[in-house]
Amino acid sequence: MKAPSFRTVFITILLVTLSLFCFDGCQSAYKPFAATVLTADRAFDGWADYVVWQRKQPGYDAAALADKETKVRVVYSQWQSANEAVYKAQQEYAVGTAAGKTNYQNALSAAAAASGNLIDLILSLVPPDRAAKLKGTP
Amino acid sequence: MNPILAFILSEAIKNAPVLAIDLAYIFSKTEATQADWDTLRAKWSVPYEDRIKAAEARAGTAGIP
Repeated sequence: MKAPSFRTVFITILLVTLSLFCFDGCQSAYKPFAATVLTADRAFDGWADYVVWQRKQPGYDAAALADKETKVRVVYSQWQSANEAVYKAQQEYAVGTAAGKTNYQNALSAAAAASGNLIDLILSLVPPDRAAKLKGTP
Repeated sequence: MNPILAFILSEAIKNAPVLAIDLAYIFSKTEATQADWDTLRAKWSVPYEDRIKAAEARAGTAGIP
């Protein structure tokens, strides 16, 4: 039987997020948000380990790796900004501002997309054997 | 064993349990506190270069070639 793709797993996480929204409202959004943050965080650990390992290989292509790092650095920064927006929106929602819930939901959606972008980019840049290893991480 | 394969296996063994423990902790809590949010925030706030340095430290302690 073919193993589910990482995209399938990620979409499942998003569906769980939406389900929790439907049943419990925004207060329960922390868990699925934290799960997506940690999943992207672990994928980034895999990327960082790959960069360090690659730099130690004799005769590695420094320019190619630098180009990949530039791409990941940009998307990583976007991921950080999206998560920070969730953090701030959550605090505004907690004190009950008028637009708090809408802003919070929008920020959560953007952060989920940013996590997906970071994971997809990392999986596209590492060699297939290492990508398979990252996909195998729950 | 091929050293690259050994490295990949060691990473898989190292990362999967840590993430599983993190997720189990999160989903065992009934409601997130401000401290939980701050702990999570600390994870995504680390600059790119510092994450690479941390990976260098991990590779150094693990003796990975």
